[in-house]
Amino acid sequence: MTGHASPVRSAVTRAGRAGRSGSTLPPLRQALAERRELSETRTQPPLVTLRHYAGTSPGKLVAIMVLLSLTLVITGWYASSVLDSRTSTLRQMVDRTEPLAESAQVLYSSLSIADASANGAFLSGGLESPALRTRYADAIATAATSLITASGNLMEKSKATSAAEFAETRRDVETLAKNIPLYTGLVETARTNNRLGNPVGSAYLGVASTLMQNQILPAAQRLYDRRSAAISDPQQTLSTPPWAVYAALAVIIGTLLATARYLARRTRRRFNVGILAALAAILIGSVWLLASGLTSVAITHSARDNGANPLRDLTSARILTQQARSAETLSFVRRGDQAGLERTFTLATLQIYRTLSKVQTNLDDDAAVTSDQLDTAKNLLHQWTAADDDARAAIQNGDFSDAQKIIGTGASAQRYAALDAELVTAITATRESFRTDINTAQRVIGYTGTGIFVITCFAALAVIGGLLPRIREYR
Amino acid sequence: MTSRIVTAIAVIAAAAITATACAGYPAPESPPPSATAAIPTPPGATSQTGVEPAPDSDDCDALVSLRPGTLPPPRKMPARSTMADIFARGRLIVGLDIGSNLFSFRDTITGDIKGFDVELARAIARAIFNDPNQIEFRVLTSGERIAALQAGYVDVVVKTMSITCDRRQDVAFSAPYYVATQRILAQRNAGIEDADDLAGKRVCAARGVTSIGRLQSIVPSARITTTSTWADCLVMLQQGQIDAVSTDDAILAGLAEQDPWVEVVGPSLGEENYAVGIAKGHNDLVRFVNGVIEDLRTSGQWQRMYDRWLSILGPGYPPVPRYRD
Repeated sequence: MTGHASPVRSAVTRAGRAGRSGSTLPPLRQALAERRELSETRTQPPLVTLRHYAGTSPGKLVAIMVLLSLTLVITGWYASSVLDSRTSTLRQMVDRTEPLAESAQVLYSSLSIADASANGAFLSGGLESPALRTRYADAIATAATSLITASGNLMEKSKATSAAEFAETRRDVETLAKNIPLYTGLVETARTNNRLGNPVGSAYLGVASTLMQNQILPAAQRLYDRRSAAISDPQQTLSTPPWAVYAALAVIIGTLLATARYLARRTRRRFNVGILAALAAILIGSVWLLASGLTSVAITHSARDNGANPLRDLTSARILTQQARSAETLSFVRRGDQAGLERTFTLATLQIYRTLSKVQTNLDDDAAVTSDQLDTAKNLLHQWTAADDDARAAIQNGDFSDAQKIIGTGASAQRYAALDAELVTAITATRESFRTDINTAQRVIGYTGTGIFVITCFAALAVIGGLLPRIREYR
Repeated sequence: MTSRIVTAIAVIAAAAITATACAGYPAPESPPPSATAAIPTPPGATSQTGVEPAPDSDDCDALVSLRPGTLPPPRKMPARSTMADIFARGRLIVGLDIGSNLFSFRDTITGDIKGFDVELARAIARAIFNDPNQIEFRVLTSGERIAALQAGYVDVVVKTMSITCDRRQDVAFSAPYYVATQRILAQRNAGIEDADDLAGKRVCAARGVTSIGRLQSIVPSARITTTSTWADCLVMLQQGQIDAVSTDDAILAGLAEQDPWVEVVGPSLGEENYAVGIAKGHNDLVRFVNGVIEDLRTSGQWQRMYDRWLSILGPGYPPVPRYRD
């Protein structure tokens, strides 16, 4: 390379001029040659000029410096954006996604409880007890409040949802908003008629319940399904470590090492302080990222296995519990599709049992629910179905007041309430553990986004600081 | 020179301001929210009803039942008779429903099943056991009545069951214990006075009853809506989803009693004879039940039952039975 003299080098560097001055050309000719060379410089395109310069030792150093610092800053920016997006997803999960799913679950359950209480009030014979009436009113109030929360922002489509999904969510929320007042109106008509001793009250209650079972609850269930899917979707990405970031950092470390070797060979110094500082910074950053990233992923894993999965199962068990209770009370109040309602009850209770057993099998040592708790729930479920069998036998024998007692306020009602309470306890505990895990996962990688960017910027500055004096040496 | 440039700039600026002032950029549409309410109908309500045959009880002398013998004293049923089997079991099993106000319904306050039909069933139990409470009620829908008898699931059906020739093919009937007339239930001041006013109107009836066929034969243009129970018809009438209900006066009276704004109108469209349904092959039980009904009629007990439950219909008299041997 040195054989082919570059005009830039001759113009800029002392080394070039020194090389030239040693030539044998007479002064005038030399001047002419220099002038020609200068005019050539002017006429040559800048790219070619740059390429020529890049071929020289200081050119190479400049190129290395620029490329290295650019790569460092870009990698830092990339890693930081990846980690920031993880952090914000995790924070969003704690602040928004999970509360949305929870409100959708509460919405479904309280609507179901309202329906079961309205039906139960009729079962209690004559006037409903104040407790049942309060339960109904509270459930409706809770449902209305959670509808606001569960609706989320319906004016703006978030990036994660497709247009069709967004439209469906909107439609379901509208169905809920339109039909809940209709439902309460029908229940009050039923109640007034019941109070006046008009048997048509049961028919109104049937209309209300059918509205609830066929339109309101399915919409609430769809809403819940979508809200809960929003929890599990990002977890797929969050539970894999940010391999691309690690790979980029590994490449950077390799490049820094290669640069250090190149400099050690090319310059008289064994070590370049700037490169070393950059290397040290990147190594520290990488270890930090590796540790925090893997920890965060491990915690997210735990959040999924001990939180999201059992939470989903327990929630579906609670929803099934409400469905079974509705079928049980409805089959008693409205003597329509007896066989269908009985089948619904049997299938729902069977599925609750299966779901609880599944949670129990997958139970971890770190899980928020204990096996004993699930045993209690299963036991209550068993007692509930037994009480239901008793009530059905009583109905078959025409002993309505007995069946009425069992289902309205007796064994069946109590076991259902106890099972529901047990499930709520389990859901609350699991939910807390899930939220804590996600929050921890977020905190662990909380500052890495900014941190890694600062570190790579520092490394870039260190590289520049380390290489500039070496480049100057060529002047 | 400079003044020219200044003028040019001023002209361009003025033009630009005018141009932007004229241009309007319409904002994306944002219509105000609006929605229509869909008032729900009772479960099982449908307006898809085909034409049904008019009920017929004359062609086959369906109203003629077996002549009762002398009633055996209670607790002393003839050996090897159906009644002896029932006595041995310890309770009479009766099929009915709990949604027919006045005939058999669940008392909203006590939760007991009461009504005219229930009292008749208890009279049969008393005749066997000398105790009206040795009885078991099994709830049936209208469609289940005949199958329940045939399967031996119940001993007797006492559930506003009217005698028709079709049903006589499958089960035996006692002598009629009540004669109902089909009439119309409509909102007061709705302009519906008799069957002719029902032309093109929406009329409700419970599924599987004989009233539908009779009304269709009288007013073919009436649009029939069928529901699972009679109470559902009242719900639809109160919500303005139908214009009238047409069936037996006794059932209509039970509905009218629950709403002062509806009334039973018009002359009789036809008669229905309610009888106790009994499985075929139990002639001894048919004779026994006929004896019980005869006893109620002659002792004045029938009249007391009528006054207690059905006085809202005005004066009523027990049907005079026709027997064969």
